[in-house]
Amino acid sequence: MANQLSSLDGVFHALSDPTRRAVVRQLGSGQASVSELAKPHDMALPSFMKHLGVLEQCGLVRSSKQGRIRTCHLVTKKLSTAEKWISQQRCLWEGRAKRLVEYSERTEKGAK
Amino acid sequence: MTENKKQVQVTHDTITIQRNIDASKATVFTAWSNPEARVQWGPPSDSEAIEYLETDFRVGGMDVSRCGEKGHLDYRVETLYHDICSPARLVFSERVSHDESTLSASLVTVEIEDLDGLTKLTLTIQIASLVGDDMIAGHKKGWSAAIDNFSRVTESLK
Repeated sequence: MANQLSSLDGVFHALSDPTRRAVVRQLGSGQASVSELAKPHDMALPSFMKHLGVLEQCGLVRSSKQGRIRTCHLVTKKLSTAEKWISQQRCLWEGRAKRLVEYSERTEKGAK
Repeated sequence: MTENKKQVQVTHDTITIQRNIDASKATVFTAWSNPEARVQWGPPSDSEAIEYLETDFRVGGMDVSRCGEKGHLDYRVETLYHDICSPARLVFSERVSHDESTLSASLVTVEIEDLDGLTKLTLTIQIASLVGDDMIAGHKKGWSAAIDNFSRVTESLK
């Protein structure tokens, strides 16, 4: 259980960055080479490789090398079904919290 | 054991969310106590909605609501209030179900404090998830939807 949670922490850390989320989204529609993944991002390759490393470390992404081309794919089974539900709940509460802040601040201004 | 598919393993997690709000504690508390306010901010995005079938905001009282994508309010939520301490604290439990199966039960603690002229909101959500593979198969929201939600939310938080 502790392992499951720490692995989930790794996943959330990995997804806390916009570049890494873009990579995950891109891989969501199929495997891609490192150069294909790096192309849309305005950064040096070593920096991009660091992001890829974080995704591989937490187990969301796996890669294999054939000749000179390294191909990456998304490991969609990384999260168990229950963890997916919990991650959706987290998204839901994050969304609610954001809207609660907006609602409260709007209401406060309206009352003044 | 394997033949009993209904016996789903329970998974626990605790979600903590903290926000500083530029509004008074009373305003923030009212956002929780008033069902009309909750209908406005409660759906996590513009494409989703909440509809209250019953509301009873008092200790021991229960709200019943339906929520989900607009036009498909497939999830039933029963909210039971355990502690109401206006405007500082709220403790309630939430049972989320779909087609009469319980998906999760959570204990939610809302703490509202003063912080340098702002209001500090702390949400602690302790979840017991009972979702099994056969249940999630029917869900429209999969892994990619969760990623998209997560991205949208975290990007909008900046």
